[in-house]
Parts: sequence; C-alpha cells; structure tokens
Amino acid sequence: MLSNFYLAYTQCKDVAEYMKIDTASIIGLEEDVIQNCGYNTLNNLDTARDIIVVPRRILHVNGKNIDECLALAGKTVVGCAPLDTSSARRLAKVGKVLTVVLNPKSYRYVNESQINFMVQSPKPKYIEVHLYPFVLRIFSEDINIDVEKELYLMSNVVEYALKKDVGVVPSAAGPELKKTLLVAHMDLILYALGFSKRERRLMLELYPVDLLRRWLSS
Amino acid sequence: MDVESFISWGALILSILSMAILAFTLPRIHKQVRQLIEEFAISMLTRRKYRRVKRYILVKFLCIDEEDYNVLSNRIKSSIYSFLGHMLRHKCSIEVISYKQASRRAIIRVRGEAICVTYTLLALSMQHLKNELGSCIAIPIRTSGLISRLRRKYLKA
Repeated sequence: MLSNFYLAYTQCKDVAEYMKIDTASIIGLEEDVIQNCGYNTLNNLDTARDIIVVPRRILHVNGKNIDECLALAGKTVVGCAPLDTSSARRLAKVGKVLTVVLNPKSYRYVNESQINFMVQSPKPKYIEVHLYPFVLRIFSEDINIDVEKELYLMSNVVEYALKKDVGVVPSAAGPELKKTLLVAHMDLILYALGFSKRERRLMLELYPVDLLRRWLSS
Repeated sequence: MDVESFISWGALILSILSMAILAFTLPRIHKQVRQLIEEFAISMLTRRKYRRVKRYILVKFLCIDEEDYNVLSNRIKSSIYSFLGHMLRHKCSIEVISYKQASRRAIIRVRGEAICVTYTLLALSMQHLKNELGSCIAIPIRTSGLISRLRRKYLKA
C-alpha cells in the first residue's frame, strides 16, 4: 500500500486530479482542505482503487508553541518541525503518536542525537521527510545554499533512523499539483540518494501503514 | 650422513631459497610487467576506460498533446539536457525513439555511463518543478535494457 503522507494542496481540483494520476493509496491532506472539499466528494471520486485520506497538520514549533502542536496529536496525524533543540528533544520524549518533520528548516535539530532520543521514547516516533522543500533548494538562485550538505545530512539521518528501527515516512509536501512529487518520483529521489529497494519499500509502504495503525489505535 | 638424506636436505634448502628469491623479486616483476603493459598500450585492449551502457526508459506524460513527433522529441531532449548541464551532455546521449499518443507513453533511450540513467530519471522526475515542458508531469514507469520488452508489454497494451 503506497503512500504519500502529506500533500500541502489547497485546491480540491488538485486533490481530485492527484488521486487519478498517482498510485498512492494513503494520502495525507490538510484538515481544512478535507473539510472544504467535503468527505463525500473525496469518497465519490472516480478512482480505480480505494484511497485512505488522512487528516494532517504540519506546524513549525519552538519553545512557545510546542503545546499547540502536541494538543493536536489526537485529532489529526500531526507533524511537528522543531526549530530549536529543546523542542526537538521534547517531541522525542512525549508519549503521543506524531511525526517529527525533517525539512530544510529543521534538519539542524533532527540529527543522529535526536534519533537516539526517539529510540528511547515510550511510543514509537516517526521521522517525516518533506522532499519537495529539499528538491526546491536545488533550483534556488541563492548560491550560498549548500544543497549537497543538506541532502547528505538528510540521507544520513534517514539511514541512521532505519538502522535504529525508527520509522521514516517520506512525503511530497508539494503546494499544488503542478509542483507535486508522485510516489514514483519520491522512489527515484530516494534511489538517487542511495537507498536500496528494501529500504524504499519500508519507507513508502510499511512505515506509513504502521503510523496510521498506531494513530488509529491511540 | 648417507647420500639420500644429503640430497633431501639439499632439495629442501634449494626450494626455500627459491621461494625467498621469488618473494623478494615478485613486486619488482609485477611493476615491470605493469610498465610493459602501459608502454605497449595493451591495457587499451584488455580493459575499457569506461563502460558504455544503453537503457530504455518508458515514460508516461500527463499533459503532452503534441502530435508532431519531432517537436515532442526536441522538447523532451532539451528539457533533460538543460537539467543535465553542459558537463554531463558530452557523457550522456538522450533520444526519444518511440511515442504512442493514445496512451501518452514514450520510450527514451539513454546511452553513456551508468550514472546517466539515474540522472535522466531524476531529471524526468523533477523537470515539472522548474516549469520545463510546460509543467507537464512525467512518470518514469520502467527501465529496461531491451526495447522489445518495453514495446511488447507497454506500448502495445
């Protein structure tokens, strides 16, 4: 069961078109978008397969607003991107089902030490890698952005997490259909980063289902 | 000491000596042989500098409505080459060799070093983010070394 655990779409027509063209069976959408589109509209879409739509919220957290992120953990599959070390450590220790978002803003704090803390967590934690912001950095005109370093650190963290059996869930996080990454694209990007077929299957199929199962049972 | 034991001791000492001489001279012999190979350019015959591979990629385009094969081919090639850049262009050759408009599927041939295939797949996956090909999303479906396999399984379906 392939998954694309977060699509940052805002338009219903983008969601409908995405469901037709991609092979993902688990799709994460912002809670507001699901409400705007309506559950019935999403269920009645003419697709050849059953699709599970997961309500998501993604927040960037620091010491001030971390409680807001934790409070949402039961209602939606919340993803918290830490912007300082203390928030990252607290996210690792909290006993709720949530994902720690790894993107270009948070990669400094979601490192190997953070994985070590996440291993000791009372409930399993997941790293959610937002690929679109990383890929977007490649096209940036700013020559001061060290894309190679960011991608290297990102793939190192993912590799270490897989080694420690911390769940890794790659997501597209594209803002619209024209700038989306399909499951096939994510698979290729992970392949280019050096992940084996088994690791890619783990990330794209097994861990998302595991995360969903744990969230539903929490 | 009788004659037989004298001969056996002598043979043993000789064999140990020959092994020591061989161990001492082996690196020099190896170096000399390598120099000779380089000198006579035998390496050019025995091993290649780089291995040239040929792969066929089946791609589905989601929004191309071009009917003219040449226009389509040029658009795809220019999009991929702009991603690969000047440095990789002399290493990788891209060619659109087949296109079925009804299913919007095309077969792209990649020739060059093995890394060209990976880069081409990446370029196809990311080109729509940079508004190449008019934001058309390309989905690489399958990569194969045999074009007949792709034609039989996918283009004729």
